[in-house]
Amino acid sequence: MSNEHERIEELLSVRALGGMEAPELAEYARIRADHGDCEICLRAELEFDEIAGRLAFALEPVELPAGMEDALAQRATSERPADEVAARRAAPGRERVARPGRTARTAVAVAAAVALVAGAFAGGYLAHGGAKVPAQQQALAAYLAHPDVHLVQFQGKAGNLAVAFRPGQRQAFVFGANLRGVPSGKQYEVWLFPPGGGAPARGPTFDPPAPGSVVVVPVSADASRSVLMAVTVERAGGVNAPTSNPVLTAPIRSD
Amino acid sequence: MSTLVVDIVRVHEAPAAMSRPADLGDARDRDLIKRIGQGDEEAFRGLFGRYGPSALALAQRVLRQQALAEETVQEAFLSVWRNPAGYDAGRGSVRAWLMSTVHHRAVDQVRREEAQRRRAEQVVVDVDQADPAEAVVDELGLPQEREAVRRALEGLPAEQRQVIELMYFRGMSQSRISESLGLPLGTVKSRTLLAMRRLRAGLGWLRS
Repeated sequence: MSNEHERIEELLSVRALGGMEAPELAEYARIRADHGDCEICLRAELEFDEIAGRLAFALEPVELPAGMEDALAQRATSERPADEVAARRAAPGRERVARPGRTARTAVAVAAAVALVAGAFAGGYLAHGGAKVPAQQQALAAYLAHPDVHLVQFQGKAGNLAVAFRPGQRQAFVFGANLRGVPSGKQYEVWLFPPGGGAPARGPTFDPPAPGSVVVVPVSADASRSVLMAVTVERAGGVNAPTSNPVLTAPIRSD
Repeated sequence: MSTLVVDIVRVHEAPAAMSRPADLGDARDRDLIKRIGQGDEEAFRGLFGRYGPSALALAQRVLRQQALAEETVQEAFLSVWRNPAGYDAGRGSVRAWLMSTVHHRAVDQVRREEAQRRRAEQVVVDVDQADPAEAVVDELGLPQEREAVRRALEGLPAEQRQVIELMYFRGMSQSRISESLGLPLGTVKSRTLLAMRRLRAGLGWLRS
């Protein structure tokens, strides 16, 4: 086995067990971008993840507290009633979104998005001799390591942008590079469009990153509840409703 | 046959999708996930009833805080209700996916609370010893799985089993393990990899 694959397996084993830390998450992101379609790497990731999941069964199961199941079911159905869930499942045309490390078919699409982050990490980490990676990029790297994270690339000519989100979590990250400049006094603004055609919710504003660097923008929302995310160019500081056509759009498929 | 040769043979036999144990339990679990995707509350309760006790045991072990463990398990199962399509049948078993979801959330909590928690005051419970403070349920299921996993863990050299215990069951990062045991970080990494390779060989994979 090559030294590179040995190193990849080492990272994957630690990651599967939950022992990975931010600097290595960045290295993992870089390696996944470089080896996104490697069958050996994919297999190792899947097998180690499966093993780690099964380790839990070495423990004796414990008695659930009285009422825990009922309380859980009540929370679930109050958030999203069973009949609403069924209606959503019945909607046609649902597509799976790319998810890092799942299958070779999605690896290429995912690698392109991860490479946005990996490029900045590689530059920052190596250029500074392994010194601190910016906090937002560390947070994104840690976020990308979660098994239930979804990645969707924005479409449009304004640059490379992607969104990483975990369904049910009120936290997502929009990140990108090589974005077109905006006029003085303007910024990019993120919008989240709900199902049913209602007005979009405001997201954060951000400036295009300098050439060669990556912008990472936290979004305090559950992106999986949107059908679409979009980016427009607006007055600096943002506006209450889009005043221009989106320059980048990302269809969100939550199931 | 050495572990390395087994690994090479396994890789060259591999189809694109990972093969995993073809057992009735997994087929039933996949059916539950499918039904949850159709809004079936009964299926959701069924999945929780089947794996909730193990999930709570894992969260308790990692977090050492009952209330936080319960909340972590609830959030993990809620994420399944919200997005059952998060499970990818081509990736592995439902039970492993579920437990990984719980474990990741528990470890996230550990990372956040590491500065405040007094881990040294916690009683260390060996993975092979029952905690008398925990009520042990009747064998509701998965005894064969538990036996297989324990046997695989027992087959590890002590130093590799120790790393698994600290990293997986205590939620410690590799750096913390390195500091705690006074070992070079590289040693921790290599022991982790060796342990996982042995577990992979020990737990085995059945072709479906």
